[in-house]
Amino acid sequence: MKILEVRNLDVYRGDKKILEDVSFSLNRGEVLGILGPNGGGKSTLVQTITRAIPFNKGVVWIHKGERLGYVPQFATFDLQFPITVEEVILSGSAHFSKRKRIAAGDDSKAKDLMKQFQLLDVADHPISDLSGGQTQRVLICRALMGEPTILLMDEPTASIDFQTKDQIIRQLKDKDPELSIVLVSHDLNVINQTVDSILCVNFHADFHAGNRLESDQLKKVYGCPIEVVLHGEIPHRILDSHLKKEEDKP
Amino acid sequence: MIFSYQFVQRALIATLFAGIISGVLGTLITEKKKIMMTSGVAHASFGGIGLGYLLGIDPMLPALGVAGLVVMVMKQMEEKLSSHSDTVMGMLWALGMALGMIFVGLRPGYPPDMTSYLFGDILTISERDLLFMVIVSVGFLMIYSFRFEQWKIVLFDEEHAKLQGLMVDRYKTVFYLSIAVAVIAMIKVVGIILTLAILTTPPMTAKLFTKRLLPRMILATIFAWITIFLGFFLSFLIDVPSGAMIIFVSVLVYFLMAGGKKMEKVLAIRK
Repeated sequence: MKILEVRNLDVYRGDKKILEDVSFSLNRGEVLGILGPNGGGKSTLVQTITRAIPFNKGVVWIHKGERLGYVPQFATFDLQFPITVEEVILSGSAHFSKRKRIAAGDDSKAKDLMKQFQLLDVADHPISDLSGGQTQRVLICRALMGEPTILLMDEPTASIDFQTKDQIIRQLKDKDPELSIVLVSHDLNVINQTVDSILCVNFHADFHAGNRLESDQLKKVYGCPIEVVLHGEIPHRILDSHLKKEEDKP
Repeated sequence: MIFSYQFVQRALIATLFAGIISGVLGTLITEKKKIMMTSGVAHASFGGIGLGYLLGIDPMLPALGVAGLVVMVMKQMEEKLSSHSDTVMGMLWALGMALGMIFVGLRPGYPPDMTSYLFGDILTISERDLLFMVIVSVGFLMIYSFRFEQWKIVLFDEEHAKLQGLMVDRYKTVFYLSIAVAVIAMIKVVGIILTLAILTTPPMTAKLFTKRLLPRMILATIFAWITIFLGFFLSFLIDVPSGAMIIFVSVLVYFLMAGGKKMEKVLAIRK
């Protein structure tokens, strides 16, 4: 059953067009991986779905009654702000804005999540004390507090190694097979191992059912032949044809 | 005994409420890195003070208007220009000062003494100034304690707060206007030039001791009380300007505490 559909989406930031004519859909229980080079518009696409960024043309349709959960990149907020792990997680409760603080049962729900994601020991610690991987897990817990049916995860370039990420996705799916996940990743390994379909985003978007991408499809997105998408300074590993070009230079 | 003078008593009451303003709002200003903006607003408000003189009304009223206007312009600029907004702040900062000088110059007759606005004088605080400080600090306590959890989330992660359905823009408007009001309330205590220091130094000192928001606000308030009182008392004893002495003491306390913390760490490693 289709629960999320994006059709012919155009998004501008200021005067600059970030995305053009993007279309894809997501069914219940599916995992969609979003891949593409840095600056290609992956995060913008996810933030358009959460309505954090307005779009200029097209349709973003979400099935009635679905609840969105959003795990942002670190860069969007202040990691030095004096707030504790437990406070951050509790702020994800669906009751948070309506009531003074939270509803009955939220405390135990937060405790369960912290236990599941090995955060109980740091519950009282300020968020600035945590490692990158721990912070990522706090943000996942915060998103899960709202009992989402669609989880949007926008991954930082370097936080958890890919096995842990893979493990988290599996853990989430084991607990709730109905949960749909949209995963922005810089890591082809994760994408290949856990997703049902792939969306390659670089200004335009190509939708691929299945979790195999042929090398010429990747070439189209990244603009050169690639094998593995790595973290950090080097956004991707290049294959020999790219190198030859370098050698041609005098 | 100096405490029997009425102006000394007023100064002490001012200390009490200035401490609360520094502890509550100063902590948020340093956490949200609005230091440059706070200083800019304080300086730009000089334009309002000059206008007050020219029109022959209480200069703090137009100063408050100017400060409010500047923070709202800055809020717009930050949303639209982001990285260039501090250039705009620099211009408004200078423009406000310049207009202040022009307005004062336009006033016929002998130019008034502006030093109490530039450097503050806790001993000349009027009853009206005091009432303003009381209203501001009680107002801050109510606004920021009533929805403390929501404030924390808005200040920590705007995007998430929006997703949770909080009116982020309203919270931000209140926060920015709070900065304007806090600055104006502090001008009589330490003056335009030093307002920034009294709003940021006690919270920075408190930051050395705790990583949690509420304890930091309480500790910052206590540090502000101690330093304003000590500075005021010393200035009285050795007859120097009180605003300058208050800032000198508060910065000195910061460095002593920071140094002490550092020593503590070094000694702990040696053990």
